[in-house]
Amino acid sequence: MKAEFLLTLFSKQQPRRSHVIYALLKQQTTGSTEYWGLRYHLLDWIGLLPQLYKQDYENMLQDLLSERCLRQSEKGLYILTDKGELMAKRYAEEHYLLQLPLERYTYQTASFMQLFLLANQVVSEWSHQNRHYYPMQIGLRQQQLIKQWFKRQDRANLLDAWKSDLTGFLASLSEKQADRLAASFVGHTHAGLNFDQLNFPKTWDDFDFYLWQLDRYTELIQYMETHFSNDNPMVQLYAFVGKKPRLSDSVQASFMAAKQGASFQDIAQQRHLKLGTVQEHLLTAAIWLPVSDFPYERYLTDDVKKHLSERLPDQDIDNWRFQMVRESSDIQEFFNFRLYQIWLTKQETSDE
Amino acid sequence: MSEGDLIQQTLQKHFGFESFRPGQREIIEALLAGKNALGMLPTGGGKSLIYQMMGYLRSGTVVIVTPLLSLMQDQVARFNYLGEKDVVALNSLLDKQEKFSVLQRLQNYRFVLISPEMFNQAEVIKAFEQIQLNTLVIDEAHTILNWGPDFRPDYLEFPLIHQKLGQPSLLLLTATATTDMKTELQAQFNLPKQAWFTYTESVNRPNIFLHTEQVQEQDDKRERLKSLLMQLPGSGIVYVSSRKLANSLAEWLRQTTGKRVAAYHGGLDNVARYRLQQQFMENQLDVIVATSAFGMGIDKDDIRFIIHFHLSQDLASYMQEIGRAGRDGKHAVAIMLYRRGDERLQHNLIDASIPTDAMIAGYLSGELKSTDIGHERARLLDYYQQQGLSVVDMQSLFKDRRKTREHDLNEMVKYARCEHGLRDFILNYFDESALESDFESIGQANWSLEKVTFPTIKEHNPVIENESWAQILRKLFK
Repeated sequence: MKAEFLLTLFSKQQPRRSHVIYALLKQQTTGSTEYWGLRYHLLDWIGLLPQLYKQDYENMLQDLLSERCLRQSEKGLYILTDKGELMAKRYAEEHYLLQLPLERYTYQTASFMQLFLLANQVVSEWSHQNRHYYPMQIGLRQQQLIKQWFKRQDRANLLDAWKSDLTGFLASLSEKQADRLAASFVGHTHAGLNFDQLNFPKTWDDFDFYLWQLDRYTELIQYMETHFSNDNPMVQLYAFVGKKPRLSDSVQASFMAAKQGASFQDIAQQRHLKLGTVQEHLLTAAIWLPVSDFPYERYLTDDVKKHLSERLPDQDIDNWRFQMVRESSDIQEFFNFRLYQIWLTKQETSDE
Repeated sequence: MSEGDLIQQTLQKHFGFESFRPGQREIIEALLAGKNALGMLPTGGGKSLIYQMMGYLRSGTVVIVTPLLSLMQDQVARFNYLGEKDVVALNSLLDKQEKFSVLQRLQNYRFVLISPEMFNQAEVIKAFEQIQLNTLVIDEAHTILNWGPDFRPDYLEFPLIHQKLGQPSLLLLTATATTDMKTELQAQFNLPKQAWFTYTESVNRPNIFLHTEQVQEQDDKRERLKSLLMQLPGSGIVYVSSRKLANSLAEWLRQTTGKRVAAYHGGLDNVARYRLQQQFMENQLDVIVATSAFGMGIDKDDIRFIIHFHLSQDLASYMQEIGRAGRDGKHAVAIMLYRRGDERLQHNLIDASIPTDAMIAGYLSGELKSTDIGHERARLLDYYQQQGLSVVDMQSLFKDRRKTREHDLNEMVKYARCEHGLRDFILNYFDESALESDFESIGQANWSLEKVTFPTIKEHNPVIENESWAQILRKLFK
């Protein structure tokens, strides 16, 4: 990945915290980083680069600063310069931009991609009755999953199903995309082509190819969802990965209880949680769910909204600080403040 | 059944071979007789068969310490290819849970490949203490001496671990080591002399034609490389010293030679590495432009040429790299392209890995943090500090290391600048006696391929470009 890619995640208007962007890419988020991810409209990018090293990230950031593409507005906050904006624009023109970023996250495409490639190789070699080959070396657990999966398959139908499923999916893509994707498959006497052998635009690098594949495999999963039934071999393979639920089980449980009218105190007591944790759960739910799915009106009554809006005259939500509204040590105050910010952010987004 | 019969039968049953390559049987017999062995066999001489055989000849787990991740994956793939399922690679690619479950059922594996870093962890050692060990193998054992002192301190712990594990049979394997290196390697382990069996095959590869050339300018070198590639048949590897150059040179060669060229380096992801290796094996690629990360575990036996666009760090590495050519015993060529000053790159690498006096003093006094001197260096200094070395001790140790590495590099440079007797120069370096061989040449004026008889290239598999997806599916699935 080139450092310039990071420029596409910064803004010329909105100073952004570098550590928030890192936490999102690496998927090491907290309630606070997810809130800022929402503010930056970058939540869709969560978990794109789980292997990213902090040091590498910092080095890239330093490079962008010394090349004057980024400027530090406050400690830890960065903003695009004119040059940076231009570079980000050029980067976007010369490189592949992920089309389905959030879907890639919810479908967990990156994990499925590896499983698919090995399963495809196994089926291909098996169809040629070849047991003597070098299997692709992916993770240990993935290899075990493939073994399990293969054992469970009905050998009489596997090949036909696999072939016709792939045919159906590839036919649904543009000819060019289908040719390239199939060329990258590994199988019997077919080593598969790498990105520099697939006639992609000269300006691309292997990161672009990775993103391009993510989109194609996300499309495959979407295709499977609408076209295949549960006993389909590919669907069974995908079941090892599964769709990521919007909310974790624990957040979901707190949220459901709240939705049914339980108070924070009730939820805390029933679920043996701290009050602060319950509130954090609900804020997380608010951040990730569509605005209509969350009972904002219950917490943000007209009085609360009026009270907050009077004390927070600044149009730019990013400039608000909790200290501006804090009156007591009641943690409900922070909850209301943050929920109000989330609600307004979602109003802004839906106005766009 | 006699031991001899059993060995023979195992060879046939598991590998389908009728006979051993030189040294294999001798080492196996020594290990079975309870000795420890140091085997120096040329690259492609079948080192891995020795420990694979051990796994079938007696009970217990064979542990293979392997320095490079990519090499380890290749080894696992080779085990899989042979149909061996009780094999696992223990390395940093495993997550916590996977590692835990492997350690839990360690005794179920016939073969465990492990990285030096993992092998040095207390919980891992503890797990190995609980099981029966067949043989402890240290692959590419020369790296203990080459790498250990400068940037992989875990290597220095092997003798201690070996002791902790109750001194199981030890097998050190390498393709290239001087007499001094061999003595030093054995000395690391606290074992009586009579407990060792040493087998040495000559480093000489008589079927590899040696050639060196000096060029004036960088551009000349590129042009020269291009024209050599146009003349040489079959597949080959070009070694360069950086990822960036590997990429750009591969691109340029692809455009200017019409050959099928690809870059290979440590930055590639697993799948990309896999595709490249397979393409190369299947002759769908002619040339790989690689950093030294490539090829430690490559099993292709018909590589016809190796060209060094840059120097190796020493002659041992150089022999290792050119040793990938001509494994089928047929003629192959090893060419060194040298430009005065090329050694600077290698000097920089030495500087980058060995801490300076100021770094050592600063770090140990606490004025410098690990982020100031680099995490790797800091880990190394931590290690030596735990060993009770003072600042002065460390400074002198690293001074010696620098001297050794610079000396080894100078010998590499001397080879590149040699005016006569390339093969003798190498043999002399490895303390072997000279041969009267004229299977070599020096300088562009003397370059001619007359002496080399390349086998006819069997098949030139086309790269499967411009195939439609439907055609590809038809090929993949029968």
